[in-house]
Amino acid sequence: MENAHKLNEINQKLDKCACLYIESYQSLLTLRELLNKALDDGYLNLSKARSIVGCTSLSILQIPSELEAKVSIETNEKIDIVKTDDPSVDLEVPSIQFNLSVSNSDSKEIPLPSWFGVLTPLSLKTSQKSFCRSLNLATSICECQTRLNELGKVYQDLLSEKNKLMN
Amino acid sequence: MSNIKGKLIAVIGDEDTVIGFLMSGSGELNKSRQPNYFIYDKNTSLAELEEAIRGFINRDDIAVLLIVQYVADMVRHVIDNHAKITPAILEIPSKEHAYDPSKDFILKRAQRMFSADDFK
Repeated sequence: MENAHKLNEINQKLDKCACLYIESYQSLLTLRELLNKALDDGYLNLSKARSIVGCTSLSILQIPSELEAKVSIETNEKIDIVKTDDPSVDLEVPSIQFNLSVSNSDSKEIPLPSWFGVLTPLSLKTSQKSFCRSLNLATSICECQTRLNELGKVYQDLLSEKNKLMN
Repeated sequence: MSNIKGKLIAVIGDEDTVIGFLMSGSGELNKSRQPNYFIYDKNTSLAELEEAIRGFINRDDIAVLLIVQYVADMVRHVIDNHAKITPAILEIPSKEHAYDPSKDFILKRAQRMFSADDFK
């Protein structure tokens, strides 16, 4: 009787876990499409800018020897408590939040660096915006990937527990 | 690291990929003069590439590692064995090589997640 109760509990958690996994997978695919598009725009505009100013004016040689990052990622571990179809059964899912923060507190926008000269084509600014957008999307994707991994572990652990009960 | 809190975003890719992400403010040279980016070109050896990716994976000031997928294919054995939560590794397209979801290690792992036996 107790085993039947435990089995029911585990099945509820497994069902919820599977649903969350598929939702996270769907989110991941959507974010991926957006990231690929943003990067394609970034590369295209970078190439346009290079065709205007010349290859030697827009290369890694222009990057200074002293560099300080203006964006950083803060991670925050937490445990999400998710309700299953059975109100008495909760599913605990570890998750990690990835938060992108900008060091320039006055504005959330990163100004275009002056490495490539003062008069830079508009396509270079557009390219930079695309890469900034990509950073935001990449952060969201990392959070989604981590959630997917954690859900996978929870699912496998629940499955092992279920197999032990059934045998 | 500099005055900002938090961890860095590392990039491994071709010149355009690295320049793009450096423009977005993610680039840093730390106190030991180690950059958080690595440019892969035709002259880069596999040993140098492996050393670079292992270096980024073992640094504790890096939260995310962006790597262009065609370069990730060369160090697939390192990426597939990466089990730590951070740095989170993300495969991205390059200018000349489109992203192929069938090669992405996260998506491949996700597709193997469920089997018909699980639902018995």
